[in-house]
Amino acid sequence: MNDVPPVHTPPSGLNPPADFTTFMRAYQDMVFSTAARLTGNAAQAEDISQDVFLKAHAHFDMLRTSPTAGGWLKTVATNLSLNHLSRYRNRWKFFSEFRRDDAAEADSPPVDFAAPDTFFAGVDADERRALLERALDQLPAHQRVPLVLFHFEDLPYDDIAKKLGVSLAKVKTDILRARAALAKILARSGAAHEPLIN
Amino acid sequence: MTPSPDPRENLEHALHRALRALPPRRAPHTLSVRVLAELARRAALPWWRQSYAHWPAAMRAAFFLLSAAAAALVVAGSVALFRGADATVASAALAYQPALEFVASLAGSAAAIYEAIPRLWLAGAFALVVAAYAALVGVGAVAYRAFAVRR
Repeated sequence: MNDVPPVHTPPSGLNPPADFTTFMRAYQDMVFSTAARLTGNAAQAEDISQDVFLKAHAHFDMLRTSPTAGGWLKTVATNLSLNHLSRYRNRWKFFSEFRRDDAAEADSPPVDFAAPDTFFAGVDADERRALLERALDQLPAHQRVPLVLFHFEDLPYDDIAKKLGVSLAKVKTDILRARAALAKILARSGAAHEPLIN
Repeated sequence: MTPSPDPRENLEHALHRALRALPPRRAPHTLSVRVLAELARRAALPWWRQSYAHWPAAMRAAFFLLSAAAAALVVAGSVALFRGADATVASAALAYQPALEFVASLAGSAAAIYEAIPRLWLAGAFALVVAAYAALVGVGAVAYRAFAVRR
């Protein structure tokens, strides 16, 4: 697939068909969420979402009647996000990644993993959502990406390893550390004694 | 669900439930505006600035014929050029004989100098260059982590 997909020019010239607009509005939150959780950056996620819908427009004849349009969009959003991360972040990994790990380990108080159902004391659903999204954004990319692929995209460990081009052991370690880091961030931002789910 | 004795497993299940319960993040209202504006911009482009697949059929056919003609011209020209190449190369070699001899003598001198240098010196110089390069990368990485990373 090309990076810049060809555009099907509608007969009217400048205006895309109205049902593409409807289609886009139906899926834009899902596409944006996928990109935002993978990149941890709203501005980059918006750029990626724009590219996803431009590709969707190029394939709209197929997508408009497809029952798997949502899955197609999610896959494209995931792949474009991973491409974006590998293009713009991997070049700095050697310089920046280890320091973040060290910093996260050094200044965090220990968390009682024996009682993980006790975050979010006295916070309502909106606040809980905001806390979790913020905590995800705070994770370093090499932990957040496999965690998101595992928990949100339901990818098994070996598929994640293939997608990211890293070893299975590294994926498992990164996800374990991501969970621990997420728990620490949540433990610091909320207090205890309310279950994670209602 | 009965809690697992493994705290890491408890954490995994608890976080999985919490993350999966998250609703989708709301896309900024500018997203659809940007997409529609980009589609309009692309649709307004003249045909020759769009991808080949969207050119008019007549233009695609004409472009294909022109490309084939250009390729045929290049092949025919190359064949004609190489037929007369032998004579050209021979006369050029005569004209540039002194320059070729000079280059050959330079290469001979360089080879003699290289042979005169002890192998240990060469290995040491190579190791020094590698060590200096590694030190440069190391110092750069440490400086970047120490001063530039503020995330």
